[in-house]
Amino acid sequence: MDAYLITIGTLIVIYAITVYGLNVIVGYAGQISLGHAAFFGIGAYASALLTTKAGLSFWEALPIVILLSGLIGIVLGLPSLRLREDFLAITTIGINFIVEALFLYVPYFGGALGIGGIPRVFLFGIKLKGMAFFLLCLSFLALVIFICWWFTRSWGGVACFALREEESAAASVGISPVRFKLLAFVIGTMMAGLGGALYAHYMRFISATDFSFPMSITFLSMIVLGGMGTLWGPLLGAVLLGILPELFRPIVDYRILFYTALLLVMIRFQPAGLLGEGSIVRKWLILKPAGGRP
Amino acid sequence: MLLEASGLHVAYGDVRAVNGVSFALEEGELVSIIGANGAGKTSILNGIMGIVPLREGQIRFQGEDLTPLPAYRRARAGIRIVPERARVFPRLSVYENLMTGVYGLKNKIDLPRRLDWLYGLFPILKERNRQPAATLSGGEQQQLAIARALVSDPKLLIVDEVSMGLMPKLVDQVFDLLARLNREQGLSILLVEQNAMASLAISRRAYVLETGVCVHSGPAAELMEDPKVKAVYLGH
Ligand SMILES: Nc1ncnc2c1ncn2[C@@H]1O[C@H](COP(=O)(O)OP(=O)(O)OP(=O)(O)O)[C@@H](O)[C@H]1O
Ligand SMILES: [Mg+2]
Repeated sequence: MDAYLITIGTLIVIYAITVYGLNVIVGYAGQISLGHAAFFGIGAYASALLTTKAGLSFWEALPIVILLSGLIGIVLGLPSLRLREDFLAITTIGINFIVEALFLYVPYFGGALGIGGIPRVFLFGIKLKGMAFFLLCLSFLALVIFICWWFTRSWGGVACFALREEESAAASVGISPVRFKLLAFVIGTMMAGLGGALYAHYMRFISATDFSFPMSITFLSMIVLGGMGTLWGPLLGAVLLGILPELFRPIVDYRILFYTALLLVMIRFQPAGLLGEGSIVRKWLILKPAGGRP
Repeated sequence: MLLEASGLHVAYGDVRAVNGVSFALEEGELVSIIGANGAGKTSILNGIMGIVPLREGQIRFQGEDLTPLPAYRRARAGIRIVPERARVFPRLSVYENLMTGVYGLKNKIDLPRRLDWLYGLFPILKERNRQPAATLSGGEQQQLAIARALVSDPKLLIVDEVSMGLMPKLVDQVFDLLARLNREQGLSILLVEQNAMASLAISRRAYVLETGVCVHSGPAAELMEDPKVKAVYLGH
Protein backbone atom coordinates (compact mmCIF):
# COMPACT_ATOMS: atom_id res chain seq x y z
CA MET A 1 0.00 0.00 0.00
CA ASP A 2 0.98 3.56 -0.69
CA ALA A 3 3.04 5.10 2.14
CA TYR A 4 0.85 8.19 2.08
CA LEU A 5 -2.29 6.12 2.60
CA ILE A 6 -0.63 4.21 5.42
CA THR A 7 0.29 7.46 7.12
CA ILE A 8 -3.25 8.77 6.98
CA GLY A 9 -4.65 5.37 7.90
CA THR A 10 -2.41 5.07 10.95
CA LEU A 11 -3.37 8.50 12.23
CA ILE A 12 -7.05 7.78 11.67
CA VAL A 13 -6.77 4.54 13.63
CA ILE A 14 -4.94 6.29 16.49
CA TYR A 15 -7.59 9.01 16.57
CA ALA A 16 -10.30 6.37 16.48
CA ILE A 17 -8.85 4.63 19.55
CA THR A 18 -8.82 7.94 21.40
CA VAL A 19 -12.28 8.87 20.24
CA TYR A 20 -13.72 5.55 21.41
CA GLY A 21 -12.56 6.60 24.85
CA LEU A 22 -14.34 9.93 24.51
CA ASN A 23 -17.43 8.04 23.42
CA VAL A 24 -17.46 6.09 26.68
CA ILE A 25 -17.42 9.35 28.66
CA VAL A 26 -19.74 11.45 26.51
CA GLY A 27 -21.80 8.89 24.65
CA TYR A 28 -22.25 6.19 27.27
CA ALA A 29 -22.15 8.13 30.52
CA GLY A 30 -23.49 11.43 29.19
CA GLN A 31 -20.68 13.49 30.73
CA ILE A 32 -19.67 16.29 28.43
CA SER A 33 -15.90 16.53 27.97
CA LEU A 34 -14.25 19.26 25.94
CA GLY A 35 -10.76 18.40 27.14
CA HIS A 36 -10.13 14.92 25.81
CA ALA A 37 -6.95 16.00 24.02
CA ALA A 38 -5.41 16.51 27.46
CA PHE A 39 -5.63 12.79 28.19
CA PHE A 40 -4.40 11.96 24.71
CA GLY A 41 -1.46 14.23 25.52
CA ILE A 42 -0.88 12.72 28.95
CA GLY A 43 -0.58 9.29 27.34
CA ALA A 44 1.77 10.61 24.68
CA TYR A 45 4.01 12.51 27.09
CA ALA A 46 4.06 9.70 29.63
CA SER A 47 5.13 7.16 27.04
CA ALA A 48 7.62 9.55 25.46
CA LEU A 49 9.25 10.33 28.82
CA LEU A 50 9.30 6.73 30.00
CA THR A 51 10.94 5.54 26.79
CA THR A 52 13.39 8.40 26.30
CA LYS A 53 14.35 9.44 29.83
CA ALA A 54 13.62 6.27 31.83
CA GLY A 55 14.86 3.94 29.14
CA LEU A 56 11.85 1.62 29.13
CA SER A 57 10.63 -0.08 26.00
CA PHE A 58 7.24 0.80 24.53
CA TRP A 59 5.80 -2.42 25.92
CA GLU A 60 7.22 -1.91 29.39
CA ALA A 61 5.95 1.65 29.44
CA LEU A 62 2.49 0.93 28.07
CA PRO A 63 0.85 -0.53 31.22
CA ILE A 64 2.24 2.34 33.28
CA VAL A 65 1.02 4.86 30.72
CA ILE A 66 -2.47 3.39 30.66
CA LEU A 67 -2.71 3.17 34.45
CA LEU A 68 -1.41 6.69 34.86
CA SER A 69 -3.93 8.01 32.33
CA GLY A 70 -6.72 6.25 34.18
CA LEU A 71 -5.57 7.60 37.55
CA ILE A 72 -5.37 11.17 36.31
CA GLY A 73 -8.73 10.52 34.65
CA ILE A 74 -10.26 9.74 38.05
CA VAL A 75 -8.85 12.89 39.62
CA LEU A 76 -9.94 15.10 36.76
CA GLY A 77 -13.24 13.23 36.51
CA LEU A 78 -14.15 14.17 40.07
CA PRO A 79 -15.57 17.55 39.04
CA SER A 80 -18.12 15.75 36.88
CA LEU A 81 -19.74 14.44 40.04
CA ARG A 82 -20.58 17.84 41.38
CA LEU A 83 -20.94 20.07 38.38
CA ARG A 84 -23.86 20.82 36.15
CA GLU A 85 -23.38 20.11 32.48
CA ASP A 86 -22.46 23.62 31.39
CA PHE A 87 -19.90 24.02 34.18
CA LEU A 88 -18.46 20.64 33.39
CA ALA A 89 -17.93 21.73 29.77
CA ILE A 90 -16.01 24.78 30.93
CA THR A 91 -14.05 22.83 33.53
CA THR A 92 -12.90 20.27 30.97
CA ILE A 93 -11.80 23.05 28.63
CA GLY A 94 -9.85 24.47 31.55
CA ILE A 95 -8.22 21.11 32.20
CA ASN A 96 -7.12 20.99 28.58
CA PHE A 97 -5.48 24.43 28.79
CA ILE A 98 -3.78 23.66 32.08
CA VAL A 99 -2.35 20.36 30.86
CA GLU A 100 -1.15 21.97 27.65
CA ALA A 101 0.46 24.79 29.63
CA LEU A 102 2.23 22.30 31.89
CA PHE A 103 3.68 20.53 28.85
CA LEU A 104 4.74 23.86 27.47
CA TYR A 105 6.24 25.53 30.53
CA VAL A 106 7.66 22.74 32.67
CA PRO A 107 11.23 22.23 31.45
CA TYR A 108 11.10 18.53 32.27
CA PHE A 109 8.46 18.14 29.56
CA GLY A 110 10.73 19.66 26.96
CA GLY A 111 9.12 23.10 26.90
CA ALA A 112 8.29 24.58 23.53
CA LEU A 113 10.66 22.15 21.82
CA GLY A 114 8.65 19.17 22.99
CA ILE A 115 10.16 15.72 23.11
CA GLY A 116 12.01 14.18 20.22
CA GLY A 117 13.86 10.97 19.58
CA ILE A 118 10.99 8.81 20.75
CA PRO A 119 11.93 5.24 19.84
CA ARG A 120 9.95 3.11 17.45
CA VAL A 121 7.98 0.15 18.68
CA PHE A 122 9.62 -3.27 18.48
CA LEU A 123 7.70 -6.52 18.48
CA PHE A 124 9.58 -9.82 18.74
CA GLY A 125 12.73 -7.95 17.88
CA ILE A 126 11.22 -6.50 14.73
CA LYS A 127 11.03 -2.76 14.29
CA LEU A 128 7.44 -1.83 13.42
CA LYS A 129 7.26 0.69 10.62
CA GLY A 130 4.71 1.60 7.97
CA MET A 131 2.29 -1.23 7.38
CA ALA A 132 3.47 -3.20 10.42
CA PHE A 133 2.83 -0.29 12.78
CA PHE A 134 -0.51 0.35 11.09
CA LEU A 135 -1.49 -3.25 11.80
CA LEU A 136 -0.38 -2.90 15.41
CA CYS A 137 -2.60 0.17 15.80
CA LEU A 138 -5.42 -1.66 14.07
CA SER A 139 -5.14 -4.53 16.56
CA PHE A 140 -5.34 -2.08 19.44
CA LEU A 141 -8.38 -0.48 17.81
CA ALA A 142 -10.04 -3.88 17.51
CA LEU A 143 -9.35 -4.47 21.19
CA VAL A 144 -10.78 -1.08 22.13
CA ILE A 145 -13.93 -1.67 20.06
CA PHE A 146 -14.30 -5.08 21.65
CA ILE A 147 -14.03 -3.57 25.13
CA CYS A 148 -16.66 -0.98 24.23
CA TRP A 149 -18.95 -3.66 22.85
CA TRP A 150 -18.49 -5.76 25.96
CA PHE A 151 -19.01 -2.75 28.19
CA THR A 152 -22.36 -1.85 26.60
CA ARG A 153 -23.53 -5.37 27.33
CA SER A 154 -22.31 -5.44 30.92
CA TRP A 155 -23.99 -4.16 34.06
CA GLY A 156 -21.58 -1.23 34.02
CA GLY A 157 -22.82 -0.20 30.60
CA VAL A 158 -26.48 -0.49 31.50
CA ALA A 159 -25.80 1.47 34.69
CA CYS A 160 -24.07 4.24 32.71
CA PHE A 161 -26.93 4.43 30.20
CA ALA A 162 -29.47 4.59 32.99
CA LEU A 163 -27.55 7.41 34.67
CA ARG A 164 -27.22 9.28 31.40
CA GLU A 165 -30.95 9.16 30.79
CA GLU A 166 -32.50 9.66 34.23
CA GLU A 167 -29.95 10.16 36.94
CA SER A 168 -32.33 10.27 39.87
CA ALA A 169 -34.31 7.28 38.65
CA ALA A 170 -31.04 5.38 38.28
CA ALA A 171 -29.97 6.29 41.80
CA SER A 172 -33.40 5.17 42.99
CA VAL A 173 -32.73 1.63 41.84
CA GLY A 174 -29.39 1.52 43.63
CA ILE A 175 -27.00 2.63 40.90
CA SER A 176 -24.24 4.78 42.36
CA PRO A 177 -23.73 7.87 40.18
CA VAL A 178 -20.26 8.43 41.60
CA ARG A 179 -19.04 4.96 40.83
CA PHE A 180 -20.22 4.74 37.26
CA LYS A 181 -19.38 8.26 36.17
CA LEU A 182 -15.85 7.69 37.43
CA LEU A 183 -15.75 4.26 35.80
CA ALA A 184 -16.62 5.87 32.47
CA PHE A 185 -13.94 8.51 32.99
CA VAL A 186 -11.35 5.88 33.82
CA ILE A 187 -12.12 3.69 30.81
CA GLY A 188 -12.32 6.72 28.53
CA THR A 189 -9.07 8.28 29.66
CA MET A 190 -7.24 4.95 29.55
CA MET A 191 -8.21 4.62 25.91
CA ALA A 192 -7.04 8.17 25.29
CA GLY A 193 -3.76 7.28 27.01
CA LEU A 194 -3.32 4.29 24.74
CA GLY A 195 -4.04 6.44 21.69
CA GLY A 196 -1.56 9.03 22.93
CA ALA A 197 1.19 6.46 23.45
CA LEU A 198 0.74 5.12 19.91
CA TYR A 199 0.74 8.67 18.62
CA ALA A 200 4.02 9.50 20.35
CA HIS A 201 5.80 6.44 18.99
CA TYR A 202 4.39 7.01 15.56
CA MET A 203 5.28 10.70 15.27
CA ARG A 204 8.48 10.18 17.30
CA PHE A 205 8.40 13.85 18.09
CA ILE A 206 5.65 15.52 20.12
CA SER A 207 5.00 18.99 21.42
CA ALA A 208 2.35 20.64 23.54
CA THR A 209 0.38 22.09 20.64
CA ASP A 210 -0.45 18.61 19.38
CA PHE A 211 -2.75 18.31 22.38
CA SER A 212 -4.39 21.69 22.49
CA PHE A 213 -8.06 22.56 22.71
CA PRO A 214 -8.74 22.43 18.93
CA MET A 215 -7.74 18.75 19.06
CA SER A 216 -10.43 18.20 21.70
CA ILE A 217 -12.96 19.84 19.41
CA THR A 218 -11.82 17.58 16.58
CA PHE A 219 -12.33 14.51 18.77
CA LEU A 220 -15.76 15.68 19.85
CA SER A 221 -16.70 16.43 16.24
CA MET A 222 -15.77 12.89 15.31
CA ILE A 223 -18.22 11.30 17.74
CA VAL A 224 -20.95 13.83 17.09
CA LEU A 225 -20.60 13.21 13.35
CA GLY A 226 -20.41 9.44 13.58
CA GLY A 227 -23.02 8.97 16.26
CA MET A 228 -22.56 9.52 19.96
CA GLY A 229 -22.99 6.43 22.05
CA THR A 230 -23.10 4.05 19.09
CA LEU A 231 -20.59 1.27 18.57
CA TRP A 232 -19.40 2.18 15.07
CA GLY A 233 -20.03 5.93 15.11
CA PRO A 234 -16.62 6.89 16.52
CA LEU A 235 -14.86 4.89 13.82
CA LEU A 236 -16.95 6.43 11.06
CA GLY A 237 -16.37 9.91 12.49
CA ALA A 238 -12.62 9.39 12.77
CA VAL A 239 -12.42 8.08 9.20
CA LEU A 240 -14.52 10.89 7.70
CA LEU A 241 -12.85 13.71 9.58
CA GLY A 242 -9.45 12.09 9.10
CA ILE A 243 -9.85 11.91 5.32
CA LEU A 244 -11.67 15.16 4.71
CA PRO A 245 -8.74 17.51 5.37
CA GLU A 246 -6.63 15.39 3.02
CA LEU A 247 -9.19 15.70 0.26
CA PHE A 248 -9.71 19.41 0.72
CA ARG A 249 -6.30 20.77 1.52
CA PRO A 250 -7.48 24.39 1.59
CA ILE A 251 -9.71 23.78 4.60
CA VAL A 252 -6.79 22.71 6.76
CA ASP A 253 -6.25 26.26 7.94
CA TYR A 254 -9.91 26.63 8.72
CA ARG A 255 -10.24 23.25 10.34
CA ILE A 256 -11.64 24.47 13.62
CA LEU A 257 -14.09 26.79 11.92
CA PHE A 258 -15.18 23.85 9.81
CA TYR A 259 -15.51 21.50 12.78
CA THR A 260 -17.46 24.02 14.77
CA ALA A 261 -19.83 24.58 11.87
CA LEU A 262 -20.09 20.83 11.47
CA LEU A 263 -20.94 20.42 15.16
CA LEU A 264 -23.69 23.01 14.90
CA VAL A 265 -25.13 21.50 11.73
CA MET A 266 -25.09 18.00 13.17
CA ILE A 267 -26.68 19.05 16.44
CA ARG A 268 -29.37 20.92 14.53
CA PHE A 269 -30.19 18.33 11.89
CA GLN A 270 -28.80 14.97 12.98
CA PRO A 271 -28.38 15.14 16.74
CA ALA A 272 -27.92 11.39 17.01
CA GLY A 273 -25.07 11.39 14.49
CA LEU A 274 -24.78 9.55 11.20
CA LEU A 275 -25.18 6.15 12.83
CA GLY A 276 -27.52 7.17 15.63
CA GLU A 277 -31.18 6.31 15.94
CA GLY A 278 -33.40 7.96 13.37
CA SER A 279 -30.42 9.15 11.30
CA ILE A 280 -30.35 9.37 7.52
CA VAL A 281 -27.73 6.65 7.21
CA ARG A 282 -29.79 4.28 9.31
CA LYS A 283 -32.81 5.00 7.17
CA TRP A 284 -30.77 4.38 4.02
CA LEU A 285 -29.47 1.12 5.30
CA ILE A 286 -32.89 0.27 6.74
CA LEU A 287 -31.16 -0.91 9.85
CA LYS A 288 -33.40 -2.11 12.59
CA PRO A 289 -33.47 0.18 15.62
CA ALA A 290 -30.69 -0.78 17.97
CA GLY A 291 -33.25 -2.22 20.37
CA GLY A 292 -32.57 0.47 22.91
CA ARG A 293 -28.86 -0.02 22.56
CA PRO A 294 -27.82 3.51 21.87
CA MET B 1 -41.73 0.99 62.76
CA LEU B 2 -40.53 0.38 59.24
CA LEU B 3 -40.31 4.03 58.25
CA GLU B 4 -40.24 7.05 60.52
CA ALA B 5 -39.98 10.52 59.10
CA SER B 6 -39.73 13.38 61.54
CA GLY B 7 -39.75 17.10 60.97
CA LEU B 8 -39.11 16.98 57.22
CA HIS B 9 -38.36 20.25 55.51
CA VAL B 10 -37.86 20.49 51.76
CA ALA B 11 -37.20 23.72 49.90
CA TYR B 12 -36.24 24.66 46.35
CA GLY B 13 -34.38 27.93 46.65
CA ASP B 14 -36.93 30.25 48.21
CA VAL B 15 -39.86 27.94 47.57
CA ARG B 16 -40.65 26.14 50.80
CA ALA B 17 -42.41 22.98 49.68
CA VAL B 18 -42.52 20.97 52.92
CA ASN B 19 -42.51 22.53 56.38
CA GLY B 20 -41.98 20.11 59.20
CA VAL B 21 -43.96 17.05 58.25
CA SER B 22 -43.73 13.93 60.40
CA PHE B 23 -45.25 10.55 59.74
CA ALA B 24 -44.64 6.87 60.17
CA LEU B 25 -45.38 3.61 58.50
CA GLU B 26 -45.47 0.24 60.17
CA GLU B 27 -44.31 -2.93 58.52
CA GLY B 28 -47.11 -4.28 56.33
CA GLU B 29 -49.07 -1.04 56.30
CA LEU B 30 -50.47 0.80 53.31
CA VAL B 31 -50.43 4.51 54.08
CA SER B 32 -51.63 7.36 51.87
CA ILE B 33 -50.63 10.97 51.70
CA ILE B 34 -53.32 13.12 50.12
CA GLY B 35 -53.35 16.79 49.29
CA ALA B 36 -54.00 19.31 46.54
CA ASN B 37 -51.63 20.04 43.66
CA GLY B 38 -48.47 21.63 44.95
CA ALA B 39 -49.12 20.54 48.54
CA GLY B 40 -45.68 18.93 48.69
CA LYS B 41 -46.50 15.25 48.27
CA THR B 42 -43.88 14.53 45.61
CA SER B 43 -41.33 16.53 47.56
CA ILE B 44 -41.87 14.32 50.61
CA LEU B 45 -41.57 11.10 48.62
CA ASN B 46 -38.45 12.31 46.81
CA GLY B 47 -37.04 13.46 50.12
CA ILE B 48 -37.48 9.98 51.53
CA MET B 49 -35.91 8.37 48.50
CA GLY B 50 -33.06 10.88 48.64
CA ILE B 51 -33.70 12.41 45.24
CA VAL B 52 -34.18 15.87 46.72
CA PRO B 53 -32.16 17.00 49.74
CA LEU B 54 -33.81 17.60 53.08
CA ARG B 55 -33.30 21.00 54.67
CA GLU B 56 -34.12 19.52 58.04
CA GLY B 57 -35.54 16.36 59.50
CA GLN B 58 -34.70 12.74 59.92
CA ILE B 59 -35.63 9.52 58.18
CA ARG B 60 -35.33 6.19 59.90
CA PHE B 61 -35.85 2.93 58.07
CA GLN B 62 -35.91 -0.31 60.04
CA GLY B 63 -34.41 1.63 62.88
CA GLU B 64 -31.46 2.80 60.80
CA ASP B 65 -30.86 6.50 60.17
CA LEU B 66 -31.04 7.01 56.40
CA THR B 67 -30.74 10.79 56.50
CA PRO B 68 -27.04 11.02 55.58
CA LEU B 69 -27.26 8.35 52.86
CA PRO B 70 -27.51 9.14 49.14
CA ALA B 71 -30.40 7.79 47.09
CA TYR B 72 -28.61 4.73 45.79
CA ARG B 73 -27.79 3.56 49.31
CA ARG B 74 -31.40 4.02 50.38
CA ALA B 75 -32.44 1.95 47.38
CA ARG B 76 -30.10 -0.79 48.52
CA ALA B 77 -31.70 -0.71 51.94
CA GLY B 78 -34.83 -1.97 50.17
CA ILE B 79 -36.80 1.14 49.23
CA ARG B 80 -38.15 1.50 45.71
CA ILE B 81 -40.12 4.34 44.17
CA VAL B 82 -42.51 4.47 41.25
CA PRO B 83 -41.72 8.10 40.45
CA GLU B 84 -44.12 10.74 39.25
CA ARG B 85 -44.30 10.50 35.43
CA ALA B 86 -42.68 7.05 35.41
CA ARG B 87 -39.11 8.17 34.59
CA VAL B 88 -38.25 5.05 32.66
CA PHE B 89 -34.92 5.00 30.84
CA PRO B 90 -36.06 5.98 27.34
CA ARG B 91 -33.27 4.52 25.22
CA LEU B 92 -32.93 1.29 27.14
CA SER B 93 -35.15 -1.58 26.11
CA VAL B 94 -38.05 -2.64 28.28
CA TYR B 95 -36.05 -5.65 29.41
CA GLU B 96 -33.01 -3.54 30.28
CA ASN B 97 -35.22 -1.17 32.24
CA LEU B 98 -36.41 -4.12 34.28
CA MET B 99 -32.82 -5.27 34.75
CA THR B 100 -31.80 -1.92 36.22
CA GLY B 101 -34.39 -2.69 38.90
CA VAL B 102 -32.36 -5.67 40.13
CA TYR B 103 -29.00 -3.96 39.84
CA GLY B 104 -26.73 -5.59 42.41
CA LEU B 105 -29.41 -8.10 43.41
CA LYS B 106 -29.39 -10.50 40.50
CA ASN B 107 -28.06 -13.38 42.57
CA LYS B 108 -30.11 -12.62 45.64
CA ILE B 109 -33.56 -12.98 44.12
CA ASP B 110 -35.26 -15.57 41.97
CA LEU B 111 -35.20 -13.39 38.87
CA PRO B 112 -36.95 -15.70 36.36
CA ARG B 113 -39.84 -16.19 38.76
CA ARG B 114 -40.22 -12.51 39.46
CA LEU B 115 -40.10 -11.70 35.76
CA ASP B 116 -42.73 -14.33 35.01
CA TRP B 117 -44.92 -12.90 37.73
CA LEU B 118 -44.52 -9.33 36.40
CA TYR B 119 -45.13 -10.40 32.80
CA GLY B 120 -48.30 -12.05 34.05
CA LEU B 121 -49.39 -8.77 35.64
CA PHE B 122 -48.33 -6.62 32.70
CA PRO B 123 -48.36 -8.77 29.55
CA ILE B 124 -47.53 -5.76 27.37
CA LEU B 125 -44.07 -5.63 28.91
CA LYS B 126 -43.30 -9.11 27.69
CA GLU B 127 -44.62 -8.29 24.24
CA ARG B 128 -42.49 -5.13 24.02
CA ASN B 129 -39.45 -6.66 25.70
CA ARG B 130 -36.88 -5.59 23.11
CA GLN B 131 -38.37 -2.21 22.32
CA PRO B 132 -36.83 1.03 23.61
CA ALA B 133 -38.90 2.28 26.53
CA ALA B 134 -39.34 5.63 24.77
CA THR B 135 -41.58 3.93 22.24
CA LEU B 136 -44.05 2.80 24.91
CA SER B 137 -47.23 4.78 25.46
CA GLY B 138 -47.53 6.83 28.65
CA GLY B 139 -49.65 4.18 30.33
CA GLU B 140 -47.27 1.44 29.29
CA GLN B 141 -44.37 3.42 30.72
CA GLN B 142 -46.24 3.62 34.03
CA GLN B 143 -46.58 -0.15 34.00
CA LEU B 144 -42.88 -0.48 33.29
CA ALA B 145 -42.06 1.87 36.18
CA ILE B 146 -44.18 -0.24 38.52
CA ALA B 147 -42.53 -3.42 37.31
CA ARG B 148 -39.05 -1.90 37.60
CA ALA B 149 -39.80 -1.07 41.23
CA LEU B 150 -41.37 -4.43 42.04
CA VAL B 151 -38.88 -6.72 40.36
CA SER B 152 -36.42 -6.26 43.23
CA ASP B 153 -38.91 -7.44 45.87
CA PRO B 154 -38.63 -4.21 47.92
CA LYS B 155 -39.35 -3.85 51.61
CA LEU B 156 -41.04 -0.50 51.08
CA LEU B 157 -42.73 0.60 47.89
CA ILE B 158 -43.28 4.31 47.36
CA VAL B 159 -45.83 5.15 44.69
CA ASP B 160 -46.27 8.67 43.30
CA GLU B 161 -49.44 9.16 41.25
CA VAL B 162 -49.32 5.90 39.48
CA SER B 163 -52.72 6.44 37.90
CA MET B 164 -51.45 9.37 35.84
CA GLY B 165 -52.05 8.49 32.21
CA LEU B 166 -53.50 5.07 32.90
CA MET B 167 -56.90 4.19 31.50
CA PRO B 168 -59.63 3.71 34.15
CA LYS B 169 -59.63 -0.04 33.78
CA LEU B 170 -55.89 -0.16 34.41
CA VAL B 171 -56.16 2.26 37.32
CA ASP B 172 -58.53 -0.19 38.95
CA GLN B 173 -56.17 -3.04 38.15
CA VAL B 174 -53.17 -1.24 39.59
CA PHE B 175 -55.01 -0.25 42.75
CA ASP B 176 -56.24 -3.79 43.05
CA LEU B 177 -52.67 -5.02 42.61
CA LEU B 178 -51.32 -2.67 45.29
CA ALA B 179 -54.05 -3.69 47.70
CA ARG B 180 -53.36 -7.35 47.00
CA LEU B 181 -49.58 -7.01 47.34
CA ASN B 182 -50.16 -5.31 50.65
CA ARG B 183 -52.72 -7.80 51.93
CA GLU B 184 -51.30 -11.05 50.62
CA GLN B 185 -47.57 -10.45 50.59
CA GLY B 186 -47.44 -7.94 53.40
CA LEU B 187 -45.69 -5.36 51.20
CA SER B 188 -45.44 -1.98 52.92
CA ILE B 189 -46.63 0.81 50.64
CA LEU B 190 -46.55 4.58 50.87
CA LEU B 191 -49.04 5.90 48.37
CA VAL B 192 -49.66 9.32 46.89
CA GLU B 193 -52.58 9.57 44.58
CA GLN B 194 -54.58 12.32 42.93
CA ASN B 195 -57.70 10.27 43.32
CA ALA B 196 -58.02 10.59 47.10
CA MET B 197 -61.12 8.41 47.33
CA ALA B 198 -59.49 5.49 45.58
CA SER B 199 -56.33 5.71 47.62
CA LEU B 200 -58.15 6.04 50.95
CA ALA B 201 -60.26 3.04 50.02
CA ILE B 202 -57.24 0.74 50.03
CA SER B 203 -55.23 2.47 52.78
CA ARG B 204 -55.13 1.69 56.46
CA ARG B 205 -54.12 5.18 57.49
CA ALA B 206 -53.61 8.50 55.75
CA TYR B 207 -52.07 11.92 56.18
CA VAL B 208 -53.66 15.04 54.73
CA LEU B 209 -51.23 17.64 53.48
CA GLU B 210 -51.89 21.33 52.91
CA THR B 211 -49.17 23.63 51.53
CA GLY B 212 -46.36 21.66 53.06
CA VAL B 213 -47.97 21.03 56.44
CA CYS B 214 -49.79 17.96 57.68
CA VAL B 215 -53.29 19.08 58.74
CA HIS B 216 -55.04 15.77 59.44
CA SER B 217 -54.07 12.21 59.97
CA GLY B 218 -55.75 9.06 61.07
CA PRO B 219 -57.30 5.82 59.92
CA ALA B 220 -58.34 6.06 56.27
CA ALA B 221 -61.88 4.98 57.04
CA GLU B 222 -62.30 7.89 59.49
CA LEU B 223 -60.83 10.44 57.10
CA MET B 224 -63.24 9.31 54.43
CA GLU B 225 -66.10 10.26 56.76
CA ASP B 226 -64.54 13.52 57.98
CA PRO B 227 -66.71 16.35 56.62
CA LYS B 228 -63.75 18.72 56.16
CA VAL B 229 -61.69 16.19 54.26
CA LYS B 230 -64.74 15.21 52.24
CA ALA B 231 -65.41 18.79 51.28
CA VAL B 232 -61.90 19.56 50.14
CA TYR B 233 -60.47 16.34 48.74
CA LEU B 234 -63.27 14.01 47.99
CA GLY B 235 -65.43 16.40 46.03
CA HIS B 236 -68.58 16.07 48.11
N1 LIG C 1 -37.65 21.61 41.37
C1 LIG C 1 -38.45 22.55 41.90
N2 LIG C 1 -38.06 23.84 41.88
C2 LIG C 1 -38.85 24.80 42.43
N3 LIG C 1 -40.01 24.56 43.01
C3 LIG C 1 -40.45 23.30 43.07
C4 LIG C 1 -39.70 22.23 42.49
N4 LIG C 1 -40.38 21.08 42.68
C5 LIG C 1 -41.50 21.43 43.33
N5 LIG C 1 -41.56 22.75 43.56
C6 LIG C 1 -42.62 23.47 44.26
O1 LIG C 1 -42.81 22.86 45.50
C7 LIG C 1 -44.18 22.76 45.82
C8 LIG C 1 -44.54 21.32 46.11
O2 LIG C 1 -44.40 20.56 44.93
P1 LIG C 1 -44.68 19.02 44.87
O3 LIG C 1 -44.28 18.55 43.53
O4 LIG C 1 -44.08 18.36 46.03
O5 LIG C 1 -46.27 18.98 44.99
P2 LIG C 1 -47.28 17.76 44.86
O6 LIG C 1 -48.07 17.72 46.11
O7 LIG C 1 -46.58 16.53 44.48
O8 LIG C 1 -48.21 18.26 43.68
P3 LIG C 1 -48.96 17.41 42.52
O9 LIG C 1 -50.20 16.86 43.13
O10 LIG C 1 -49.30 18.43 41.50
O11 LIG C 1 -48.02 16.38 42.04
C9 LIG C 1 -44.94 23.36 44.65
O12 LIG C 1 -45.31 24.66 44.98
C10 LIG C 1 -43.93 23.37 43.53
O13 LIG C 1 -44.14 24.47 42.69
MG1 LIG D 1 -46.59 15.32 42.82
